[in-house]
Amino acid sequence: MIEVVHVTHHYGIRPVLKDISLQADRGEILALMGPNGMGKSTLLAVIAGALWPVIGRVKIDGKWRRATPEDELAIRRQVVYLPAEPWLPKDRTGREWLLAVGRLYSIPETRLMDHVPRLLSLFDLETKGNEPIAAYSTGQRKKIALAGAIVTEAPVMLLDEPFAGGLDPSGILALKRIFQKHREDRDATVIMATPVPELVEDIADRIAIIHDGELIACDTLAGLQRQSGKSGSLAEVYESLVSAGSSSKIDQYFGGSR
Amino acid sequence: MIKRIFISYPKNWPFLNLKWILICLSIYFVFDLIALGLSWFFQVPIPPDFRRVLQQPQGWMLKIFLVYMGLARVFRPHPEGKPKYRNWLKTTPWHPGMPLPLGPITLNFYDLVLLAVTGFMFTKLGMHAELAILLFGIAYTIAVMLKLLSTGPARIDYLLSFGLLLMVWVLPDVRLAALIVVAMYPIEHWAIRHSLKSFPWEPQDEKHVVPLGWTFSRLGPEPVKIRVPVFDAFIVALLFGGSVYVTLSKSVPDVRQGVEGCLVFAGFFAALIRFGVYCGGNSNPLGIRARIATGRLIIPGFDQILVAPMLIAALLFAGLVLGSQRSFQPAEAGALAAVVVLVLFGMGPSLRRFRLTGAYNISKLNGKASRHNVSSSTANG
Repeated sequence: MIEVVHVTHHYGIRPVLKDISLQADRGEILALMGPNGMGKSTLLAVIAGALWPVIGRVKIDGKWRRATPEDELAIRRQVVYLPAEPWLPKDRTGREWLLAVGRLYSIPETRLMDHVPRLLSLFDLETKGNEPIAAYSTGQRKKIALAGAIVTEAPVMLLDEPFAGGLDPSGILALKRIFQKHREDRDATVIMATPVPELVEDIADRIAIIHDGELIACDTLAGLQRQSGKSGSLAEVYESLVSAGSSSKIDQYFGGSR
Repeated sequence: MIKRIFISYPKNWPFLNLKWILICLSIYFVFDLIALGLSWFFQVPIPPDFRRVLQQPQGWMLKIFLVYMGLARVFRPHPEGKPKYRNWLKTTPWHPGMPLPLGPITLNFYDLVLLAVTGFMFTKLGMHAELAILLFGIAYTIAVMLKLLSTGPARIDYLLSFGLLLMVWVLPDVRLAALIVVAMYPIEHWAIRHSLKSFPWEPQDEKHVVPLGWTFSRLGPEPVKIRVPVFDAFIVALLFGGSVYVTLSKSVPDVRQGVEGCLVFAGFFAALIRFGVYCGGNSNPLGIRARIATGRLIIPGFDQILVAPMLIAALLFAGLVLGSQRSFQPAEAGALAAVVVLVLFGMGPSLRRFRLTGAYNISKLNGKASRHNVSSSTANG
């Protein structure tokens, strides 16, 4: 289980996260949503341990992050974090990189040898997997980065905009299936940040909406519908909770052009 | 004749690159030939002063040759640092205790012959015969120390370093210095045999290493490998302090002042480097402006890394103030240097602990900062 306890974070003197508390249970897919620049990626980086919150703490499986070296190492063995723009070794093949990442997480060699080709095949990278990453397209780089996170078999996956970055429809579908399968079979927890409601509506167990650094809602789709008073899709609910003024802004824009 | 020598020279003397020996001897005897030629041409005996002028380059030739032999004696037959030889050796029935195919790393009878001959040549030049043992021994010891760093047992290097330091301290007594070098050999012999027991040492082969990127290197389950145990910090501090003491004891006052100045500068620089290593890729969670604005002037989880550099700066500053009032004794300078090195390497938090528990934000790094082993056989397929 992941617990975020009263987290506040600043960039310089600009507050980015304001007293955020939430939790994600084992086997749960939690989507962090909100407009651009409102703190989703920052919150994910705080949970991942890449940022140290100015106030507040993060607890994963009963252990506080960065409390003791032993606890921190235990957490790191359980968690994989994929930023929105991951670094990849351009002079190495995708297959080499996946094997190296798997070994870092102490995945047994036999399982790795079985898993890597299946992952490459899933993301349509069988041939490309043997070429240097420099030769990959943007979407293929996104796929190999996602495969890198999956190959770790970590029970906690923290993914920043996993569906963005040129991922094609088959890649999106494959990723959704993987998340669901990991949740069902391995009780994995997935926290992902995304600004697009349609991409997570069918897989997220709960949706946390962050606006202006504050957590304005964190519930299931049904719960959010009750909170917003709307009964439509996640996009409509999200619109009413976050971007209430956006329709009028659009009307205003087109009205001004007449 | 030359061909016969090449064929018949002892095969278990692999360090002897016969070509080099012949070249060195040729250069050595060229000077004697010049002297003989001039004597014959002018039909007069060579003046002693001119003979001494000719003997100088001969002496240097011998010294360079012995240093080369001392180094080559370890580097040439050692499987570490020769991937092809090491990999081939792995496939053979060779095991520790058997002779190495390229010859022994430990010294043998032929080395005694070499030292006896070169020692004799030194006496002909009016120098100590023991100089041959000293130069060969120093080079051999340094080569062994370098190899032990990668093959282990690395801590024997400390013992050998103290030996070298003692040897420098007794100089210019060449006989005593040579005796110390000889006394160190049993330790080197044991260390080499011990290190061969852990063959093939599994070195990190650069081409088989895949960079992982900052997320995996900084947040992955493998902690930073750089560790300086307190014992090592203490020994290194003692060694450094001892070196400073010996250097200053052997220097004239003018040079001593220059050395002290360099050491103070190096101390400040080392403190900065330590701070840089801890900060590498780790940024302050709150800048100065933000600290003032939020009233959180001290963030212990981050500011702890400032303590050691500040303590070093304070020690050096105190040393500078004291040094301006009266001249420093070598023992005092050595003690100060030892304390500075102890703080530099031994004072907490360790880099590993700070990386795992410190209050910092990770800055995105070049992925080459992180590498992880992958064997070539599996990487391609």
